[in-house]
Amino acid sequence: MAQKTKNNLPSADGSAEVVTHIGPGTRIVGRLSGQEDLRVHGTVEGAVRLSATLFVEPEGVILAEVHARDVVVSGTVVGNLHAENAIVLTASARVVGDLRSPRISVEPGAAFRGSISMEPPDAEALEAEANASRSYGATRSASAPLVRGAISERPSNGDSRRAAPAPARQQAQQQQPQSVRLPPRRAQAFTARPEPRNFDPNHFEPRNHVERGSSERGNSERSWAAREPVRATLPPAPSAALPPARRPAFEEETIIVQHAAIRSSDDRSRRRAEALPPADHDDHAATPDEPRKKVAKPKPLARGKHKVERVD
Amino acid sequence: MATTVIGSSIVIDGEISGEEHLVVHGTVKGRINVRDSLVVENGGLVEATVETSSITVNGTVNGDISASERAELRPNSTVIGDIRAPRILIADGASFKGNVDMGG
Repeated sequence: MAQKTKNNLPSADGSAEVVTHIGPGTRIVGRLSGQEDLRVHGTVEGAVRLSATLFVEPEGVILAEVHARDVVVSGTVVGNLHAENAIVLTASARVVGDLRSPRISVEPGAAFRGSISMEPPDAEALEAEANASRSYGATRSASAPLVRGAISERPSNGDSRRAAPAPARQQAQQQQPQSVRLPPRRAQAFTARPEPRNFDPNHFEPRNHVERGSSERGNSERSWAAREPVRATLPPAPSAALPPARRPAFEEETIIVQHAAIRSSDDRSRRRAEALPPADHDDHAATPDEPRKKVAKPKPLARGKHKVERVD
Repeated sequence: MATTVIGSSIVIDGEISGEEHLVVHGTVKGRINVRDSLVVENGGLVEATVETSSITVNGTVNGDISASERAELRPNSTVIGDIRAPRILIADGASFKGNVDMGG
């Protein structure tokens, strides 16, 4: 891949005339922004935001969050790099941080620790990105092939948290049409609660075995959305059967496996639409200041859902 | 190349320190502390407290200047702030508002 895109990548020796130049004995602490190429031989700490190319020369040191169109690193960078176009780590590069750019080239000899994401950096915080991804779905999915092809450059030992959501999100966008996505308010509620407190971890184990597609950390909105009916279904069950805490684990697993198996089938989107009718959203929006309600809301609907599944 | 150049579209909000020649075409806010000479070119804007050995201003400086050797305000330059330097040159046409301290 590096071979293919090499011609379009900014060259390390910089064919264009570089005006701005941070000498080796100069240190800048603070925010640096601009619209022209910047060549750093010295030290820059803080934040860098350029609409052109940032060159980190072999003796240059960047301790900063960097946003630029292109970044060519021959020196040392500690911090996250966001590039609209491309990131190049040359053989002498030393980078600790996360890379985010549609195109990333790592030459042999470069030292790098961090994660790589090849989605265009169109949102600042990753949490915000995860939430906003529902509305950005159309534009994001355009970059899906790039992500697939290039993700192999990610180091296997690194923290893959940032890179992992990318494939999962792409899948989610491709598999579920726009009409059945959860409303934003619900999405925030689930994202804000990473693990359901009242839920036995045993309930999650079988689901993870069944639904292999999403890793434990990389489960983005798709997994949360998929998980929600299960969590909502089991607590109200005691009226029909024994309390969940007393029941043998295998029974619960069986139920969950049924859920997962049905969910993974093709009519998942239809089921989602049934489980979350528009009336529920309106009702839910009427009481936004009660966070507990948000979680408890799907219960009655899910119970009805549950019965349908067991009949199946 | 023992020099640092801040291009015309660059904005730095913070501190620049170093031992080498600094040329500012762009904007620097905060603090400049260089051992070597500082040149604020035409179009350059420095809103900072400046400490340097010698400073030459063609653009605008808004802040106190402390130079260990000399300070020179060229024509069309604008300086608002106190200047402290043993030798101070103010060219005809320069605009300056502030106190001058040549006491060393």
